[in-house]
Amino acid sequence: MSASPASRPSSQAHALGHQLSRRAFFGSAGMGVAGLGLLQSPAIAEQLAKNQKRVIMLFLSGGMSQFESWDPKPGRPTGGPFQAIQTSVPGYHISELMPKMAAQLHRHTAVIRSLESKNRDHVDVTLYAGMKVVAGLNMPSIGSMLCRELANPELAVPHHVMFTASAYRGGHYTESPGFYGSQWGPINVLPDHIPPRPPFTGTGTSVLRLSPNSMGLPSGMTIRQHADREQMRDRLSQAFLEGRNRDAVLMGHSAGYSRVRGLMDCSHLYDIEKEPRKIRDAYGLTGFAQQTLVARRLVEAGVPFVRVNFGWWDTHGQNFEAHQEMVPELDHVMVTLLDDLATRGLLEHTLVVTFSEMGRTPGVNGNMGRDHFSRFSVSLSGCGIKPGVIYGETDADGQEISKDPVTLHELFATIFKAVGVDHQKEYHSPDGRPVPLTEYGTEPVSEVLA
Amino acid sequence: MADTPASKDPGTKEAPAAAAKPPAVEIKNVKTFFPPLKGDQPKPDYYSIVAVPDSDLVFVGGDTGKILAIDMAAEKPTPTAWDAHVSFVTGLVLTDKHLVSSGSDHQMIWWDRESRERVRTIPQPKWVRHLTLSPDGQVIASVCDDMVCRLWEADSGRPIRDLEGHAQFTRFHLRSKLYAAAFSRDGSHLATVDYAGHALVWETATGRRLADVFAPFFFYQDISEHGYGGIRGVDFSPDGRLIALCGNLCGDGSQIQRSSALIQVYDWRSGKLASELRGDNFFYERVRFHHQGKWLLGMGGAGSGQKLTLIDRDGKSPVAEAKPEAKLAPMFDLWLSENADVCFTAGRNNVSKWSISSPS
Repeated sequence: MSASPASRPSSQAHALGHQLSRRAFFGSAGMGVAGLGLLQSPAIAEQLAKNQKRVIMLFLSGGMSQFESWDPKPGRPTGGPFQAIQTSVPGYHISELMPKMAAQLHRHTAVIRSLESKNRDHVDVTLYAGMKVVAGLNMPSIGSMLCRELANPELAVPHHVMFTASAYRGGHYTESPGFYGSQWGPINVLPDHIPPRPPFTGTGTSVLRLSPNSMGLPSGMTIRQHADREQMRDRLSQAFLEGRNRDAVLMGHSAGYSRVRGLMDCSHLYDIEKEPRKIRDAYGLTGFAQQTLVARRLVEAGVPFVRVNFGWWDTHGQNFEAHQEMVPELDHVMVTLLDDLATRGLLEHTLVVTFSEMGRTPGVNGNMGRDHFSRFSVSLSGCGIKPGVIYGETDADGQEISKDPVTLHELFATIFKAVGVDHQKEYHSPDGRPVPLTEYGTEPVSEVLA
Repeated sequence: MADTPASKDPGTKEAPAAAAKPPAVEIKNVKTFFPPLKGDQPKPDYYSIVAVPDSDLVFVGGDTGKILAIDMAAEKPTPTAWDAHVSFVTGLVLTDKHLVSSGSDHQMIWWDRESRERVRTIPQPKWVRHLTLSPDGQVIASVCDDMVCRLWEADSGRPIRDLEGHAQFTRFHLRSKLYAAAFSRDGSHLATVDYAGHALVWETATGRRLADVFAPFFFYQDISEHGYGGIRGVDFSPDGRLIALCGNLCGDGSQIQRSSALIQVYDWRSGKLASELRGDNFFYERVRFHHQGKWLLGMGGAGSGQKLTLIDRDGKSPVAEAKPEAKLAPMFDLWLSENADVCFTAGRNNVSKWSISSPS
């Protein structure tokens, strides 16, 4: 499935897209791996990749506290110990734990402080809250929906990649493509190693994986051997295709090989050693930072949707201590990512979303933690967003939404709209029922859209 | 605990039964006061407490930013409260002339002890977590999230020196925190403890760092490469040779489950572990030595260990414990009298007085 008309790159890129149609792309596959479609022309591929819309979601697994981030209530009984600091948006204060975002909030970012969900548990429903649930139908996640709309089939890159630094309690919430089919599911990059549980002296360190399993060659096979095999397969394939090059099944089969080879060719995208030292240092040494840097490399190459899970934020105990450690990391990595994307001219085509499955309670429990809460905040930066807009309010203690509540459906419609996708676009279930991207009648939050 | 049978001269003949019974050490809740709440106000947490010696007058401060003066001797105490900090009141000490408070609002404030009027405010770089007063009452040590311990002239508020030496970052590249400080009984040494499991011992007069004791079990790395734990409290043994550290061992960062409350005693000069006590799923937030070394007092805070525990002089076994009257009421700070017969604790919407009887 190609991108929807609304999400197609326009002008030059659009024209290029026509020149290099799917037929031309597949037609070129018979010329061998090295002559694969757009990869033949790096300049064209680069241009297409550059103008394609894409999304990076920084998913705060476990539920980040809105009080210690986007919606602080200093001096209130629910406020916690941290101060609120003035942001670059007049009148808007965020937690002192986010000084870097505070200084540049006006540049790229809008914040919705009035998100309300029916969920307040560690389940993945917030990722599936776009489409109206249809009985008996497996629904696709937001990542699958977005990558289906935004993917450029003519780029041999993954459609959908998900990172997690945390295997803890399954806090990565695997996305499912549902009835869309497996091609829209994510490539999951999970931690390579789980440190031992207590007692643990902390003398070791977990090893975070930055690339998917099986990206490399099989054990024992050299690059040369693999290239030889590929060459042989290609020669045999070309010979077989003589006089049969109008057969779609055969051409598809050949293209499939080519695509797999293309994905393997993407392995360099996961290698941050390819980045200048200065860039790696800017992101930092943590797993979240390094995975976010890989996310930037992926979207730069045209991957339409990347989710980086950062957690675990389920702070039923020691909420303030945990947030004091984790929020500054989010602050730093998020600002570095936005600056990096902006410098490369990618931010106008890339939407960066920070999102959680829920928020945290105003009250503090006996473990000095905050529990699960259904009201929380989300930030949207970059592509299609009107920067500096602060939408919605909660009351003085953060108990209730006091102004402009936003549902998850409306948030998802806003995300679709920001990247140029018609949020009411319909698909059909295998039994023919129409299924819109967001529930009928849902409207995006136009105030945060450029 | 003194004079257990094991500590007797093995050649001594004891009268059966009565002589075998160790002298009683006991801790009792004398009184718990619940400051009145207004309307549906959430229960406030009181994070700091200090008492006027030989009296029942205590000052407490907590998450409301107020300081309360409470006469615990009154049948129905009527606290006097005033606005002090914007957010948490994290430390309180009493000098000859002043009550000094610290807050998460990056401030230290000197208050006139009698009139309770603000005398001076000194801005701090970050959250000040704890204050402690030297035994002679002349020096206040403050510990701040910029990882600097600052010494102040107690009454003038003039800075004496900064003690810098704790690492700014943990080994997982994230910011560390400085939780507490304690002077030795003679005031010659000061210990400061951090999130990453380090206790530094300083020479008070010069600011020279004398030791860096690494206690790795207090700091834990979870699967996300995030830290959890920290050394939350510290005290010197009466002879100044040992330091007791308290906190939690390797817990589940989100729930304080599958963990152990932890007190460890180190010979700080050699860095060797002298003793250890583990508890249930809670943090030991404070630890104090008896002034003659008869026992250690541990105070359980967040988690399921809302109790005071007296631990034998070897630091290995509990010998007495008492729980607060209020259920689900974590305790956050304690003040222990000089002769260790009375202590006051501050916790979730409660202030408690405890009596301690020790064998002579």
